[in-house]
Amino acid sequence: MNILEIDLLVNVDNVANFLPQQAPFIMVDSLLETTENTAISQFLVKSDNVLVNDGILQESGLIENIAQTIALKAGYESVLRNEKPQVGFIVQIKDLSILDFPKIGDVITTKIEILMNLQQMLVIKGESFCDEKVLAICEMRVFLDNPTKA
Amino acid sequence: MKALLETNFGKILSTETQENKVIFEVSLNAKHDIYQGHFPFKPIVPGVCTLQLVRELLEIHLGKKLRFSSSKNVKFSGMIDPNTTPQITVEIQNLTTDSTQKIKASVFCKEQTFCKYDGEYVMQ
Repeated sequence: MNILEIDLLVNVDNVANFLPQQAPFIMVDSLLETTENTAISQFLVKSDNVLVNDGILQESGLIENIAQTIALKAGYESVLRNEKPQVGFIVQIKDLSILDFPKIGDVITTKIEILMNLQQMLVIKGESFCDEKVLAICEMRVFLDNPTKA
Repeated sequence: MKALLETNFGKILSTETQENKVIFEVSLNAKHDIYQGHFPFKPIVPGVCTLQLVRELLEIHLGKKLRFSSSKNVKFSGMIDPNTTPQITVEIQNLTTDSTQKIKASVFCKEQTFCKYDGEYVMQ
């Protein structure tokens, strides 16, 4: 397996270069590691996050964080190939469970594993944690497309 | 930050209640901050915001705060550009008086469906 170990090559200061999403809708900070079929990201929940309500990151933010972990892996690989990050759209979410919600100041660690790679369609399993606690688990289908110009 | 409906993400135009079902007409605000980032080249309602909008509408309808707990299946079958689709219909079925709400929701505009899902929510 082709393993790329990255020492925070993608971090909060440059993450926007690897994603089609931009502020205020960036829901990942850093890419800790990526292999051919896996990736791990981290994300600090801040008070000005548009998906925080009453001090808690809502289910929308937790799901988007998993989706953007996929986008960040794909975007990182695109940039390595000198291409623009592709735009990912969630097509389907299966067996989604939200067990706990992170608060402002919590750091979420999110792991994704690609179960199937059907050209532009990725089927992944995603799981996010805060310390040892599981926050969200799901299977997700994401459609990757090239960004269209306005 | 506040709930989406409190930040003028969308506005309820009408509410129709039937036996165990409620139907909302909602207008979308294409000028909302979220569209600066999703996406800079074209505003698209984030699918996850569609899910949150459904919960917020259900909370208003029930007059109770809800916590999302699970879903077997969420399907997004179309993208919503708030400029070309400024108004959507949200239909929520299977309402009960239980403290756990196992609902079915669909979000559409006329003939076009954007999202369908089943969701389990716990009253707080």
